[in-house]
Amino acid sequence: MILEGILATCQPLTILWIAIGVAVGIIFGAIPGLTATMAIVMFLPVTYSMSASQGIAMLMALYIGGISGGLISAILLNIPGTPSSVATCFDGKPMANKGQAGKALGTGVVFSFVGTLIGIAILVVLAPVLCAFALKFQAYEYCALALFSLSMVVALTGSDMPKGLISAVLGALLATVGLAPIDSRSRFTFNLFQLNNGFALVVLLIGLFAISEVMSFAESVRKKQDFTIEQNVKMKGAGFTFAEFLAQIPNAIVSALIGVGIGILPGIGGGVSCMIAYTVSKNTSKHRELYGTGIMDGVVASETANNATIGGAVIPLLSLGIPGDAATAMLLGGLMIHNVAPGPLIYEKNGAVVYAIFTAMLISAVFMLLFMLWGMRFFVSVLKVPKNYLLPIVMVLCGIGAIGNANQLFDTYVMVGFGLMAYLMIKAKIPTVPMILGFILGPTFEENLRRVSQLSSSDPFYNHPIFCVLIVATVLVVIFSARANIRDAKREEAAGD
Amino acid sequence: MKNRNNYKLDIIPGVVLALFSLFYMSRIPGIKVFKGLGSTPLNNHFIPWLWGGSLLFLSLWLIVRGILKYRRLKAEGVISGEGSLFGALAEKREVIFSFIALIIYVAFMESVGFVIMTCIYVFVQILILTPVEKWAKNIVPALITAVITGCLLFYIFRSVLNVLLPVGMFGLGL
Amino acid sequence: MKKLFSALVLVTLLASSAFAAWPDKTINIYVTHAAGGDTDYMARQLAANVEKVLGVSVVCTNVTGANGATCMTQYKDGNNDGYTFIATNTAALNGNEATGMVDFGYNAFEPVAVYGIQSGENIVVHASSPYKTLKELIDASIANPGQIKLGISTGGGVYIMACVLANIGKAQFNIIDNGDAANRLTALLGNAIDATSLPYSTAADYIEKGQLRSLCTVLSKAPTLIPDQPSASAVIPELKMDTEYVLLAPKGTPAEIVKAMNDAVLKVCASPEWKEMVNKFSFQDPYYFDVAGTLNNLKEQRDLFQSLTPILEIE
Repeated sequence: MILEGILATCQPLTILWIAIGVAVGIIFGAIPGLTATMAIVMFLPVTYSMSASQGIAMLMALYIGGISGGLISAILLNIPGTPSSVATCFDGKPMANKGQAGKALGTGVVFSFVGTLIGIAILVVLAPVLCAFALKFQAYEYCALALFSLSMVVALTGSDMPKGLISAVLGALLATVGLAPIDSRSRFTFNLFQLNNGFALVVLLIGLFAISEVMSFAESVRKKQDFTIEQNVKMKGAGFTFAEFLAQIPNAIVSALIGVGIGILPGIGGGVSCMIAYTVSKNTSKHRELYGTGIMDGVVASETANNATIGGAVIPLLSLGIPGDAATAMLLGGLMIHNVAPGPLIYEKNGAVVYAIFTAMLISAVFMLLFMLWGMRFFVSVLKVPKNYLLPIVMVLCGIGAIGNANQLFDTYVMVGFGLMAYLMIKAKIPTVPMILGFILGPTFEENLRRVSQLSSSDPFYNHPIFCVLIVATVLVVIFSARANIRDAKREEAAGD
Repeated sequence: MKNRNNYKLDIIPGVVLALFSLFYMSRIPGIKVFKGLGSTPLNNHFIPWLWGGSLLFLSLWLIVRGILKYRRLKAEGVISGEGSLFGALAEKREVIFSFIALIIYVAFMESVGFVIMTCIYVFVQILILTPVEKWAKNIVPALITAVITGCLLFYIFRSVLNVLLPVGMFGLGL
Repeated sequence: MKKLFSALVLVTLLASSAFAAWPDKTINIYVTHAAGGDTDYMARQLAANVEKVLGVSVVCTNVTGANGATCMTQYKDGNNDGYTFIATNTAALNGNEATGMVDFGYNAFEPVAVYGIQSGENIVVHASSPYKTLKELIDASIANPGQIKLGISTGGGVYIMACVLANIGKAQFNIIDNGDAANRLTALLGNAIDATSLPYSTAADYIEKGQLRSLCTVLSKAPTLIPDQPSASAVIPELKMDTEYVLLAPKGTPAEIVKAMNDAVLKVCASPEWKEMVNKFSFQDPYYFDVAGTLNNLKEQRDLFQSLTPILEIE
């Protein structure tokens, strides 16, 4: 059965589809505004007419390529290509500014590969055990998990805590626009049916990162004469030494485990996993003050975690038929259409397909590594394109992404609105990143809190040990992070005088 | 010094956000409450109150912090005169023009169509991002870039990937 | 008189030639649910086959959100030149109206054809639970009011089902919202709820493996390929939830075009390939109606749903 699965994937045509899928995925991931999810949505109908193993292999390839491609624009343009690479900007762009764009890309690519491999390994070996664990997460546990992840905001904000919290609350507040969870009553839609779906994460990302990047370049038009940033980026191998690679292994393993863990739990997703991994890596590091100035550790944490999330997300997808995010929901649809019903019987009924999927993921990961390492010299040449030409084209692509997300022109208006908001926030020195956490986790928190209120009459909270542990952990994280922030603020104050 | 002199960056956003949170909360009572099967007292008003209230609290915190900073600086006598608003806006004219270009781009995309608006927008935006003294050299390349971007992206996304990019007034039944 | 007559002839000729030319360009079908779901799959299968019949390309585009309400709101008054259609399912079309999500029903469209039926939802419990029939489950809830947790998705067809259980069947469940089918499945497997309703296709493997037990189907009639299932309507007659796939046109689309499109759809549905596809995908035989039959069918379900609105306690 295992051999049958591997052989089904190792057909020339299937491998060709995987190669195409990875390449298309990387392009979609790399272009701000187009995401891995969108790549899968657009190509899912194409796979309807393929054979099961080809179709599913191509979808996996799109997924892996899409999540990996996001690092390119995060590092080179400071605009995350997908929600999953938001945290890659934190250190990736500073590295590029220091002339280490090649090293940052190489680090991102190699550790994306490492993260994918760890994810796949855990998927292959531990799927059944981890499924049982994932099932323990119900309304109570999700409610506490959302709170716990939100508490990371305090750790992420740095010295100016009120402004970080404002950003997160503003994000959560924006996410209340649209149909309310559970009862689908419209809130803050001002009778515009286009607002019923709420705001899309990708549109928010475009506003927060892409438009603000264009504007910050616009500010410097009269100051800067040289439009190309890096003229001589040296590319040698992956851009970093073997010793540096070895030194990052512990960081990578911790980040990968965080990524897999978050991937297994449906509904959180790669956007959160990269930020949590980054925060954990920063707060456990011996040189936490260097994070954000352009060190490998930050890129490693973010990129390992978001790719490990893939393996994690596929676990409940295959073993339970439960998709973790929009991308895996599309994959589930793709599987069903090819008459592969994910669930407890998938190994018995479609065992060959499962191993075909594992093989396809592995091949996709290898293609991803090869394509990205090979393509690095071309990616870096993006830096040589004058920014006054590059950024308008990026804006158009963002507009297309906003339209394509739900096939609604209205989203481009929202995009411009978010851009204006982001620009004002940056001027007011309010950080924009916590907003993303608030935006993603706010609705998760609300939905599960309301379920808890339904459950509490017949199922009180003390029956839920994971809930209690997470709440205690949240309180501890808030206290310790707040203390660290106050210390940082005092240090800055002292340095300022 | 810079860090302590930014009382305006506390007070202005604080006031704006406080007003915004009040507006937001003023809309909450109008939300229809669901009273059917499975409804609980913790309804769809609760979380908006929570976020709205938190935002109001945090923005008041900012305002108070800003005022305290202002008093301290005033006592030290380091408050400088106001710069002119007009001067500040002129300093940011590229940003303002970029936003105007972007707004016009999306506002007219539906009626005029993606291809034409994209060509115009890319051309204008390139010029905005180019120093005036270099315009002469850049007009032709900008024009070429704009036309290629508009047509190529329309073809790829509309015809191949089936994204509903607006065809506009010159729709040819594509 | 003669002039008038010739003018009439001319108008008729012009009009008929306009329709005779239909279709001469790409037809757009807007799908109300996301790619990967059953509504999308059926719509795309239909599009691919109708394309062959009509000889022009038929393109499907997903405009999703709010259980299809977003797309239907956007396109109900869309371009009615005969090149715009909306593919959805009847539970969304009639259910959104009954639960107050939208203020319009199928009358806001020109219905073209019902072209398929889903494998249906089943009421399922954990295999270790003592309940073997729907009646036992309801009785148990009456014996322990508010202690048996029924997982639902508020506002959709499953919500209507729960309201029927509570108001007509007098059941006293603790109603928990668990969201879509995948989440209800997670909750049931994780013992967070005691019973829920799941699409047969989602639950089938768990039933076979002996982890879950189906009590009944809520289809009015069990699917043709899995006939040996009790129907919920045997316990509570109003408990009927048929999800059918339907093609709509924007209001004002000429009746001739609606008829021509319906002919094309029926031609597809009568083909052996279509039978093979729906047998495999939804355990059903082909299921389709002409324009009048489609209208009747929609009216029947709408009347049933509307008769239930007093017990839905929406506002």
